Amino acid sequence: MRIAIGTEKGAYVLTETGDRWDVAGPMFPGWKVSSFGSTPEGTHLAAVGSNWFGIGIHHSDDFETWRQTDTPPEWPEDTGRKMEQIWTFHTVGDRMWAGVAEAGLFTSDDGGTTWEPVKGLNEHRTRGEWNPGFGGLCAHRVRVDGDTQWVAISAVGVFRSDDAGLTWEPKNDGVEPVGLPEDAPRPEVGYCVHCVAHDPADPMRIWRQDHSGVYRSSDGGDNWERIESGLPANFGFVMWRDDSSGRLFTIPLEADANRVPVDGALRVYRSDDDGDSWVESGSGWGSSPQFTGVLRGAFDGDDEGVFCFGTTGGKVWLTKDNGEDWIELDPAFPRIGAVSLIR
Amino acid sequence: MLADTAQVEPDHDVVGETVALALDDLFSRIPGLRNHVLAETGAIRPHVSVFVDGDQAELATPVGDGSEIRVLHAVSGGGPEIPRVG
Repeated sequence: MRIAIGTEKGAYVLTETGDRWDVAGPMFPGWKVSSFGSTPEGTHLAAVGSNWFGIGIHHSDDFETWRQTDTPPEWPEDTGRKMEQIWTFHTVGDRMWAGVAEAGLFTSDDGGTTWEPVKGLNEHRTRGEWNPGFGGLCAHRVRVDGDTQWVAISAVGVFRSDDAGLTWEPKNDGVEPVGLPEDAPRPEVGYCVHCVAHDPADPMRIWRQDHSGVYRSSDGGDNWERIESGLPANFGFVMWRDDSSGRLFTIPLEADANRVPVDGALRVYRSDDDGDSWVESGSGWGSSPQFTGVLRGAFDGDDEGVFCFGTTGGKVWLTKDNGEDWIELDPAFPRIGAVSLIR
Repeated sequence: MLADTAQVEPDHDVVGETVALALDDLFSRIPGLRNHVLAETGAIRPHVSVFVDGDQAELATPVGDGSEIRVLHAVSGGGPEIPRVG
């Protein structure tokens, strides 16, 4: 097994070798590595960023030697926006999507070599009301199922297109907006979605870790309901679904004002009933407090029981049996923002 | 850092009567560097500094035969002075 780790200072590859994990790296020393992806042909992608030098995309066939893309996504000059970071890649068929900050969506039909903005979303009628939260203004999740597409944008909300990305509508009814009085009218945007997971057999079923809580939709996001029973806190950045079993994982953090596990008890919580109830997942967590968080891109899994995540404290946790047993890997890294199983 | 990420040598011979034209010559051969040196507006990125023969330069700064142009990331950071307490 190999796991790619994207950090504030480069990327690393963990390789399981018997009982130990070997570390390769850093790749892209000094660069923030914000996300990983793959092209339709299976070439690996790594998105890098720098406060000084902007963003870049690199391609590799083996996760060892890399070549830089000449033309990453770029905001047209007349938008006045900055390309700060690539948050996510999504590939379906021959097309790729990239979610970026400042929030926006781009597509590529040539394996990530060139990119075009999705104007229907990027110039949405509500754009003037998109205001950044603590995590910035980022399009961090993309999901495509035929002509139906979803994008999750922090501090703005979930959008859905039913016409292959031409037009988009906010889909946040039932979600509590952030930072408004209880009696304020519901805004069209201003919902801080942190993470979403879809059922691939029925992508209209969606689970959502939001700034304001944990939610579920069975109609593609038209309506959302809270699903927090059993959680020690409803704040966090992780929502994962093991598609073979339907098991959901989330990692609760105390609150937006204190983004660490409750009492330092770093735990994955799981649900086997679509989120109706949650319980602490498995064992192996140790007795020492872990005042560390898990960010929205810092986890990945497969449908064979593997789920792994990286923390803001630079540690990597892993289960191979769908959450029954957890191990903390020995190596420590800079703050982890992206994790990807290398397939 | 830029040379490493673009996997190129750090030193290049370029042609151009100004910094802008010299950089254009460089970018025509290494397109991936453009985004790292220039912002979306076409201006030099805020935390990038360009020097011609040791003097800080702008895009319009003239460049003569044999001039040395250096592209560096600016040293920046820190914050406002924190008042002492006690």
